[in-house]
Amino acid sequence: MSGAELALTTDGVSGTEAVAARLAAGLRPGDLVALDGPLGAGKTAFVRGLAGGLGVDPLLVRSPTFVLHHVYGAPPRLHHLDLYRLGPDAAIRLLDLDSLLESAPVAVEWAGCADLQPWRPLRLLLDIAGDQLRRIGALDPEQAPLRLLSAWRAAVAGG
Amino acid sequence: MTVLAIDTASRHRLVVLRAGLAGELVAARTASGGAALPWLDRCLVELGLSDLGAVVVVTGPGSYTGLRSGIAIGLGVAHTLGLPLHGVSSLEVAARSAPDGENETLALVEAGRDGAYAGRFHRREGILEMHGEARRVSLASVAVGEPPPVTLDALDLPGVLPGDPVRALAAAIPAALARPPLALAGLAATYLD
Repeated sequence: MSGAELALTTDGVSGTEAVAARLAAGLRPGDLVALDGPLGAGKTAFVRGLAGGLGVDPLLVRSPTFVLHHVYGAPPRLHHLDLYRLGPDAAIRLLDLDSLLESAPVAVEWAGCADLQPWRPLRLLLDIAGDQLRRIGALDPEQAPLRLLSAWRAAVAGG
Repeated sequence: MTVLAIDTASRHRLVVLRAGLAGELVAARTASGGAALPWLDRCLVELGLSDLGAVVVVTGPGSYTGLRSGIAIGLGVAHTLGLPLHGVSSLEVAARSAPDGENETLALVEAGRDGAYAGRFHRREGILEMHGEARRVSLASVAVGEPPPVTLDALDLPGVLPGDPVRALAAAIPAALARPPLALAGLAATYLD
């Protein structure tokens, strides 16, 4: 996978969920996790892992492909966005990221559809490395806040 | 006859009030954030809707969700009671808190991520006008000079004059009523990226 740093390879869905759960331990409101990768790379599995790590029932996690936004927990523990339906140049403004980030961490699937750089995301690229193998790495990690990057570093090392 | 005015442009500052046509304050409610819809619902019951002649809503720039909540409630009240709905920009409301005698004002509205919406206003023969366009700026880039910029928000910027959000909103009412109602001028919120 080109350009991705701080990477690891998981042995499939449960491995992807596990590394996400480890990342969740370091997440706070205001943290943005931007996920990209082809269909089947494990973006939704990753969010399921985040949810589990944040104390949300992972069975609640579904891709919000059509409704754009799922919120898990009340008060919110995790916001789950999917920009796929918004397409390229997604009108990110209508999701009011600033407000969402105040209440909980936010995970975004198909994050590449919008310019999220002003919100300083941890950008993760998931890729299919084999039948079950999935490669997960950080893109432009120096753009993310240090604490968020440390959380990812710990998640990678903890495997 | 009184006016209902609603300002939900900020995520951290909600204001709803009743005032006379000339902006004399009758009663007000404020909150320091949270969900605007249920809060407004309670406030409208407390403030009452009798004897209203018009509704004024702040149309931004500001929080996407906040503006939509405030404008929707304002539109609902106006439509139900058959009243005109007038709009006023959040920057103009902030500019109304400038000290008397200042003819040049830079108004700032909190925009999140260490940014602010900025609008430059001048007052000529008692009439406040914005010159140039409203824009999003980073707080670090704002040059605090004389006269100091005014804001209704808790901006992390030394030297900015804090205004009173209730008095500023009430003071914005006469000019808002002098403009055409939004039903005629086009109902739209302003968002700046």
